[in-house]
Amino acid sequence: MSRAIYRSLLWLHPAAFRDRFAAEMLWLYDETVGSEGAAALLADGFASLVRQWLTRRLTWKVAAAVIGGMLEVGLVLALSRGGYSDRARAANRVSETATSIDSDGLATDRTALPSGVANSRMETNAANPQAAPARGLPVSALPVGDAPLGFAVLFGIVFVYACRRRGFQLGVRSTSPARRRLRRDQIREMPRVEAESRLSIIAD
Amino acid sequence: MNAETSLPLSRATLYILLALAGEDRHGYGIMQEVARQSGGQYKLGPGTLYDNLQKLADQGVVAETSSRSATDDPRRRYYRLTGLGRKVLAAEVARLEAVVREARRHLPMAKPERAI
Repeated sequence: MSRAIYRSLLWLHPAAFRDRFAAEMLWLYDETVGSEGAAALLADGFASLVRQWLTRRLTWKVAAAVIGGMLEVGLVLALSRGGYSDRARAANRVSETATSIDSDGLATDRTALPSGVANSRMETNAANPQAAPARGLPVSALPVGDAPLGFAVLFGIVFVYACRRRGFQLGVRSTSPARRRLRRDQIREMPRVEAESRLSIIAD
Repeated sequence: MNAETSLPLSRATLYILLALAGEDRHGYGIMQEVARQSGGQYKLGPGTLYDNLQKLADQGVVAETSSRSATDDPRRRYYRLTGLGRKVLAAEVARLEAVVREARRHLPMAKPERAI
């Protein structure tokens, strides 16, 4: 049972690490489970899994950069439009009107209100004058319009496409199995070639 | 990679390099040697070991070697210290010696008792 869990942990590791070390790690697990105990080895395997995905991989950094870029672009565009969109301004007016209705209990300016959520909210407040007055902006009045969001999504798509063109995997298998195998072999050979070249320099 | 830039080494990295300083070893051999060198106080798990081996191999500090006997399990891979790895280890040992020297100068330490 614990061996199956350990195998699952190994399977969850990044493909490059798994292909290179998983068989040997499983062999070591078989050799040491009697002396070390399954719990310690499982904890070690889980720690390795976290380290591999969080510190050794580029994926989460690229994802964080994409999300951060989208938020930044959206925020800048929203602020450049004067803080609030037209819809937000309308909702703000509605909020103020609803507050004045709360104070006297009568809906005197009903025709000036737009339809939808704001209307039903006003009716609720008018029917129950003891209710606490609404404060702040409703959810529909958040200062992010449609255009910045669209631009941010477009920016994210272009960024992800550029990353994939540059060879980052982003956790999605984008190439054929033959090309993946070739790339893996190239990566596997890289440290050895580099080390041998350094050793030859040292020997010279 | 410069030998000084990677200092100080983590405990796992230091013990792995020390284990490989004497001879080429496979993963299980490294684990046993680390346990022996630390007097059983520090035990490497397979995850920690191969996580560090991958990092060290990517940096060119250790390398996989093809030397293995015919009776070896085919899953076993042997690792060796490269020239860069020896420089890194030597720099770390020198750093630790300086730390110990400084500690001896400032801390009153009991002299080790002579064996009778």
